[in-house]
Amino acid sequence: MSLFLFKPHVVGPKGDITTPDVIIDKLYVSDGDDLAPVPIGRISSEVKIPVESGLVVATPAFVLTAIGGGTLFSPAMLVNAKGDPLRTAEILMARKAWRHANLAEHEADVTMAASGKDATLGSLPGSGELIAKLTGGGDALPRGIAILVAVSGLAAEVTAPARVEMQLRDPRLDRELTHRLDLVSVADDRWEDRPGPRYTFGPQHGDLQHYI
Amino acid sequence: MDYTAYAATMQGVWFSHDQGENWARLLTPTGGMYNEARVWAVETHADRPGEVLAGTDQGLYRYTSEAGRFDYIPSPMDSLHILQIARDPRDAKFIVCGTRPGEIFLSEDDGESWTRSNLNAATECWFINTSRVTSIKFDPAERDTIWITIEIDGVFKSTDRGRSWELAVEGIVDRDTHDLVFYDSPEGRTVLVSTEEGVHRSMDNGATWVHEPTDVAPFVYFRSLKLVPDGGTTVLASVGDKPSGETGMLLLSHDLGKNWKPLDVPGPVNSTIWTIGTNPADPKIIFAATIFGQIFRSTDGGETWAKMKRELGEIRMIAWAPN
Repeated sequence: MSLFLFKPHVVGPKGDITTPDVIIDKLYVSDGDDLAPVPIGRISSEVKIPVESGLVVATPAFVLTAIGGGTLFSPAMLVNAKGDPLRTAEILMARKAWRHANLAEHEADVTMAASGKDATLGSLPGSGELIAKLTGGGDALPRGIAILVAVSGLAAEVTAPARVEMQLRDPRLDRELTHRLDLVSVADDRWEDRPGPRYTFGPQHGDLQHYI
Repeated sequence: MDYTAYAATMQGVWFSHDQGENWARLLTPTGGMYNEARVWAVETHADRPGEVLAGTDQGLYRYTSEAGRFDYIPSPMDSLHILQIARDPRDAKFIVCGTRPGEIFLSEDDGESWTRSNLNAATECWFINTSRVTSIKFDPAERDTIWITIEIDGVFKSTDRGRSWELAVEGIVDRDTHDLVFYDSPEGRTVLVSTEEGVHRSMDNGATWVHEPTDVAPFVYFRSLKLVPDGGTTVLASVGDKPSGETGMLLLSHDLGKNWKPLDVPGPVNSTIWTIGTNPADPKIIFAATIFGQIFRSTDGGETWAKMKRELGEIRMIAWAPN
């Protein structure tokens, strides 16, 4: 697909929630020094996804998304088979976000927790630095652009079925965003004996015109 | 009684705090639910005063009077239309949602996690192309039994709390099914189902059905069916000339559908009366609404009706609950 329609619930500092629809045309993934575009088709906001059998890596991340009222800051999770490059991961964006402007002054104090570990964002490239790197020195993301920062140090290796979870915590405003994913194995089938598809019709009498 | 009425509409959820006279939505920018959300279901629970669940085309939401806004409940249903919601009357954490396409999703932990049920509903159907869950009912007597109706497929019954389902349509003349009513007495159980072609009765717990013509109604498109929750045998039925429709009516029976009388609903009624909302907290207070926005209220258990002045857009469900 050529765009991803991100539908976040944006929580303000007083707990009020706005609900803008945001089109993301291009997503850049940052892992360390790299900032590389990835196909938009990898993004979804699903909360339950089938994954490869065997070991799967779930890497927590935060996403900066351009929007008129101020860049959004939201949790995400990357999921890929162990051994595959992070750039090929599925990207699951939570439908919840903060405005970056509400935490810009204390961004370094924001923490990310996952798989029993946590890290402060101060140990990562700052949002301003990333935006400047992408835009050639600018201080704002152009429309349609999002940057995802993966925190590989907090990644978990799991085997489906599994639940993976991450939190972003803002200690200054005393709030957190939790992103939870249920992973099911692509090899499993909830049906023991999967039935065939059926076609039904309403009136059980008389002649019906069928439109198929 | 101090209560709030809720209307699920194609322009969000509307609230009335004055017995249905006036209606308003939450403040658009901060209400917590997507402004353009189409809402099909609003569901309240006796153990959760001030709380309502809303089924939309943007996901499942929970409103609490404490928060004063809707909060999004992440689920696998975000890309589906959430048409029906029911919670176990004995356990508000057990949530059952029905969607279009016709699927059932279960949560046993108040929405924290979800299971997709093994419901083998039709994956394609006549006329409307895609099936829809039109009602979900917890069996009033059997704890693990849940019933649903699907247009167009029929009545399904689960005896394992929604994990698997069996079709129960023997004798149904039209599988465009809409709503169910149950009545248990020492003499046995009566189940009624409303369909595109009128009401059917089962006296063997859904194993077989008998179609019962209702000559007092000029139309056969029966939509909502409700047992007035006073312990008695009074049933209300909403009827229209066709889906959406150009007119509608209400019927009342005091003997579980054996005999019906048309009710005097202030007219003209502009379309099929699509939804009836009752609450056991006060069996006398009942709301009904046409699909094209008219709202009617009864304060005597359905015998007489007043039309509310305010009309909304397309209304899919109306409900009320004590505050």
